[in-house]
Amino acid sequence: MVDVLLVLMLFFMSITSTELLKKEKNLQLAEAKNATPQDKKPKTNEVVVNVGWEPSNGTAVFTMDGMKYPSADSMLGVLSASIQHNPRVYVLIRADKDVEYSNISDLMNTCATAGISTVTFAVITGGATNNKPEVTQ
Amino acid sequence: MASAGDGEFGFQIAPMLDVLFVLLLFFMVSAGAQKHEASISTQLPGGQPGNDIPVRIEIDVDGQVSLNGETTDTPTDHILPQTVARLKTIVAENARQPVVLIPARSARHQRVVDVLNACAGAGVKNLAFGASPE
Repeated sequence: MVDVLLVLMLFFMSITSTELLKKEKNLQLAEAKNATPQDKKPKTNEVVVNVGWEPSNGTAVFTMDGMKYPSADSMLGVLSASIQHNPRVYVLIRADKDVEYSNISDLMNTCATAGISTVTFAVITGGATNNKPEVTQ
Repeated sequence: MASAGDGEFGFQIAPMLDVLFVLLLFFMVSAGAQKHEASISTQLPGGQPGNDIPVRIEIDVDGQVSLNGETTDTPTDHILPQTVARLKTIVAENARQPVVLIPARSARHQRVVDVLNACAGAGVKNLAFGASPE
């Protein structure tokens, strides 16, 4: 009985810690119920851009691969390099729910300028369906 | 004089079981209460413009949503039932009906995601972002 309890506890501990690793401090994602669940497989074509929000001064903070960028425009070089390295690359925007749309719009414009045509918004969901709209700009 | 406490201390299984149960319950509740990360995919830039007149969904600074100029739902309503119902009617007539989303530049990202979520719920397949006049 103790063995079974230990195994169960290890199972739930591993689930909890795996999910916690994905969370980032100071970044609260928007919620959407109709989003597509993310694939658990490692994604080699994915470039993650975190867009944090500083409520004290009302500015967005762009972070990619641990590097901070002051604006979306300043990411053009690194995004262009990403698509040159891998033409199938797409951008996952993990934006705080309080970020102003102008910052997201600027980031999407930068992605389009760099030649990246697929952009994905990360959201938090409780349950999901497979409805997935195609969005263009 | 020998007391009851003298002698060997054996391994106490009952307290250990209690602790294990408490820990197990803690991790079960933690695992069940977690919300998972998902995604809403987009394509930039869009394809060729079609002949259909696009449906315009605007979001103002306060989060008020308007569909073709008519306000729908309240700025605090995240589910947007009126918007979803009207979009479902539109999509039922034309499955490839283009929809243009025009958020104000100061609109919050959560509100944009609310509308994207409503579009996904209504089955919109052809969605574009438009430039805000703001």
